[in-house]
Amino acid sequence: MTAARQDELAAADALFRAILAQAEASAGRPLADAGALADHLRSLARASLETAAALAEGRVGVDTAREAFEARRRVLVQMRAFAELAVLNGAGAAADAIFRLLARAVRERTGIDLAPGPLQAG
Amino acid sequence: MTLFSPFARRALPALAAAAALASACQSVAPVSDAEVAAAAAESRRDALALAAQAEEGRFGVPASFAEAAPVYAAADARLAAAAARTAAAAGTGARARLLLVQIEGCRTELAALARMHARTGLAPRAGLTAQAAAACDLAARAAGARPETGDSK
Repeated sequence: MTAARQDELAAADALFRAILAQAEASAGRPLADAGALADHLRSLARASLETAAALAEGRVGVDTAREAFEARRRVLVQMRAFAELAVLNGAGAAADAIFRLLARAVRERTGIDLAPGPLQAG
Repeated sequence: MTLFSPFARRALPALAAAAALASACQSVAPVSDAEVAAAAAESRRDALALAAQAEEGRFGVPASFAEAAPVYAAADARLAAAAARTAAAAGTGARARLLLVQIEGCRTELAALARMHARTGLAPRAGLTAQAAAACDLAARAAGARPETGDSK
């Protein structure tokens, strides 16, 4: 792995930790037991960097890179549905608040609206 | 910076930002359908195994698709049956609808991986397999399957 790539991965991890800390502050409780989605989101963030590097190195083509990006977008939407399921199953208002915070961040940075309406409870 | 770095700069914060969704997803209650749970769990095993083999470099050329094609096909059939069972058994309830999204998500990502595999092969360390692994792990968890040791990474 190149030094530049290590720097990029370190930056992704730092960003991940910073945003998780922001979410923890919003929730008013620690999210140390962040669970499966945190793992998957970290994995997807790293996959984004891997795809970028593979494209730059000519190991994958533009079409493949674009497909990988679209797949990541689909999985993010699936994660939104998973969060909604968690709310229905009683994760409660904290989950709803955290999701809205993060959905706003996603929308501001990408234009992708993951939360067109409030999560439905009950 | 890489050629793709503008994308990475835009996408990574979004991906990382959604990280705190994790807090919302600790307590997804199992859905009480053992057949759906078993189908989702087996599909997760398939997705993780395919991803592991791809990342080891075994699927780097399109010709390797022939080896994996039966696994893709079996998983697709299994997930189609699970989706039909979920839709039929649970009607239009919100939980059933959301479980269906998870099952179809796994199915969609495995199908996308299969198409890519057949067309170009799966280059290792190119970020091509994480999507199917994540989608199928979420589906298994939503269906009530127990996490597998070492999965969800």
